[in-house]
Amino acid sequence: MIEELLKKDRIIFNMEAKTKDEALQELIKPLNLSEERRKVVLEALRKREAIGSTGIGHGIAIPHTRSVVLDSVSLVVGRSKDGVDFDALDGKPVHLFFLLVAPPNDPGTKYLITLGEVARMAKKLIEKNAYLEAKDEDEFFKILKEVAGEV
Amino acid sequence: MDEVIEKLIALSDIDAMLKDAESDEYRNLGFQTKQECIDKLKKMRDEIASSIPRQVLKRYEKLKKKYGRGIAPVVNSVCTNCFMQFPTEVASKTDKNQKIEFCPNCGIIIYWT
Repeated sequence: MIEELLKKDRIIFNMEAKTKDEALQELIKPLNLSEERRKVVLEALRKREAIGSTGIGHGIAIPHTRSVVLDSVSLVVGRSKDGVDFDALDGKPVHLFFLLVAPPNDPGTKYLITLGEVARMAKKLIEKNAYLEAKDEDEFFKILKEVAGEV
Repeated sequence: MDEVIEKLIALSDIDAMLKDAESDEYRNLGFQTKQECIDKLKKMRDEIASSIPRQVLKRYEKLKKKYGRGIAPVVNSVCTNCFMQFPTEVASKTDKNQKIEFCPNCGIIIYWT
């Protein structure tokens, strides 16, 4: 599932965001949603963050939400060399973002299963630590694909 | 988009979030879901719900009880709650999401994606 969701046009190699909200806004851009839907999804993501940061520590954040305005499961991966203060559990800046969004009717627990796969993939990437050294977008994408294949 | 539809979507998105946050499966993924944060989300839900016309909210809650949700997106002219295909003349109309509509088959409130 996660391999199918990884798309080159949904990778942000060098994120510019400096704050949590800027990061959310930057991450939803590659979804190419209409302005109306973009606002709804951004608001849902903000609400999700309000109940506890999705910054799970070790430089990883997995912002996620379901929304009525979405018609498919999508994943956006972002890399921030400088790191973003995302109120992570360990208080450390986040360098690797996985944005997962899905429609509300995504069959049963498929969304949660994918969320679990994303979390495992993120942890493997951190273990390898190679993602920060990637020279360009192609290399970063290659690393992501390799790790996704191992999950 | 109609203002009430926008509120119903926000309500539904919060309902989905609450359902996830309170499930063991979700907690096992390692996301923090403190009770005080869940209460905060419930408060947000109440605020939105109180701004929705009573009759519409009543119908939403009734549908939620029946189907597990009160509003469903229509994707590629298909109601994602009952999978009924909308006729082309309905699916191609230009005033979508400008007023509250219901699926003629299952009765759920619909949002045209």
